[in-house]
Amino acid sequence: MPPVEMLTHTADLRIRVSAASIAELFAEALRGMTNASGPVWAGENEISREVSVSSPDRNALLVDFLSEALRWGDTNNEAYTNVVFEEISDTSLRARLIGRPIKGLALEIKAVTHHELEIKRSASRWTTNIIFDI
Amino acid sequence: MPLPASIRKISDEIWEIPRSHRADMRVPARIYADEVLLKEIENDRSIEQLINVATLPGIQKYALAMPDMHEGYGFPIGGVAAFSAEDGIISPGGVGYDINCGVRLLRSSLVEGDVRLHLPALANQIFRDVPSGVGRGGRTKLSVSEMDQVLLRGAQLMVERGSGSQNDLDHSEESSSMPGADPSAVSDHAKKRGLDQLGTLGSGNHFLEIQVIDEIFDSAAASSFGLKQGCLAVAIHCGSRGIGHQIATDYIRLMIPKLAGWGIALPDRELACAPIGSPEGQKYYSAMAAAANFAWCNRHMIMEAVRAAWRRILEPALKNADLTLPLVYDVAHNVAKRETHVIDGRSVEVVMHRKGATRAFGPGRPEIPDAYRQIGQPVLIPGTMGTASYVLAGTEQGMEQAFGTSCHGAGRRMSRAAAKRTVSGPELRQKLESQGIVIRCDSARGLAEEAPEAYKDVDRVVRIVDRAGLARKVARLKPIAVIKGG
Repeated sequence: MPPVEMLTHTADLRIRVSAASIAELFAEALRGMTNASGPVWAGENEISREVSVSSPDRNALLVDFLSEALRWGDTNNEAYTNVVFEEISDTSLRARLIGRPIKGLALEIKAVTHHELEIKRSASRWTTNIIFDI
Repeated sequence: MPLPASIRKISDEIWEIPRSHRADMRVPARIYADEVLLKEIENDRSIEQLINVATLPGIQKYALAMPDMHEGYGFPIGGVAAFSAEDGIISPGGVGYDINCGVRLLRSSLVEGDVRLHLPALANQIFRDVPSGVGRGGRTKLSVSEMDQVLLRGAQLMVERGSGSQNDLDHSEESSSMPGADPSAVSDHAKKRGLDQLGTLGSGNHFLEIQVIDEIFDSAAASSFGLKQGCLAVAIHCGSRGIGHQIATDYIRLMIPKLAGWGIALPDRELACAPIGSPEGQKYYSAMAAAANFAWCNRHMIMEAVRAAWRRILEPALKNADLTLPLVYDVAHNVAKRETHVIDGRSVEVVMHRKGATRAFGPGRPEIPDAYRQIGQPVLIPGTMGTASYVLAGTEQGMEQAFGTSCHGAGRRMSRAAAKRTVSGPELRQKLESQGIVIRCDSARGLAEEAPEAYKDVDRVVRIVDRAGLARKVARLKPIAVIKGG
């Protein structure tokens, strides 16, 4: 199973993310969001942004983490393709987003929604659907 | 989701899912559709989303869906719900992320023949002067204190500074300045996302069109709105950009951990809400009104840029012609507002949520501008770039049936990926240009995603609105130039 699959949605963007661990799931979700937005890179300089998020549970934590990445990217004209977790639990995380400056995006992702987002474990994989407002 | 077995036909245009369909429903769900449109929405999750809306605390009468209904998140697009202002809720997910996404229509006394030769130059000038596309900033860079003024006062601020006129404010929902806005309810993060976005279209389904008034259905209403067959109009469709997105994100995040304490159980977290009387509910209302004011200011500035481009290109060629572009009206289609409606024979204050739905107030309502009060509120329905748009007028019947609400557009029927597989951007451009429609869009992908084939039949959607009595047809407009981001 590929880590990120594009699913259909009438108006917005629905993806399914799958990974061997929660940290990898969050990282793949970040990459899935960035890839879907089609960044036009503005240079090779690596950028690092620190994020710190607390949420009521794991599902909300994923939405809040991706929302933070979206906000940093939109405010600073950047996109992130990797994340280094310094700490991650079911309800909080501290991490560094790694990315590059962008000239623009092919697709505007307005927001990360909670709709249908439910992190589940089956066999040795963690999976969830995520719907982005575009 | 297949149609529930419990669904019953109320009339040719109304279908009802009874309250007994699911134990947590507080009211029935009503869908305005014919059998063709009903079949289309079976392909997505919009019916389930509408049923979820019917479970929210304080909901009045029905959870409603307009004929352009399709799958969203939380509320379906085309979803409408009124919640008691005494003991109901307010839901950021019921408004959506693009707060006060809406449409503004300007009218011209010029006819197509006057501008046909100049249309490419005019479209080029507007494309240059109105930034569009993902993340494209505008020419106006606000300071944080200027942003606060925009959030507090909307387009009134622009008029006081000499941009536009009082007439523009008089011809807009809420006079382009929603009361109750409070910039201190908006996070610094949200403000930062909007500092360079005033006067910009954005991307996706947002657009600017030059249109020709193709047919008049109601002469008296058209005359009142200043619409004449054969004359031109300009439609502007956009919203509150990044600031609205961040406000919705911030408040959904704030409300989710508090739901249990308020005794609210939700079938979908995206319906996150707060009691309207709670500090969180009040604060969201103030922040949402601030974003709505940003959106009205945004459309006002785009309107002014279009007026300047119109004069610059047409003045040298059309000396002595009337080159003014008066505002017909401006409507919001993603917003929550306090309104008074008659429910079970008594006047009740509600918090109306319209997500992908347009206010369509009938004659006599004090919220309608003086010039239109006898006729009913103008309702602006953008179609697709290859078909048609409509102007409707609100009705008494619509007030009784649907809290004075109409559809907001054609409504998507095809995902963006499916649209790209079905339609080639370059071929679509060629096809539209062969029909005499000038296209200015940098992105072939963006063009394909918004192809007419990706949308429901706008004529059918509007026919249902008209036959159901939610609003009546006044005029149909066809595009002759389309300007959009990718």
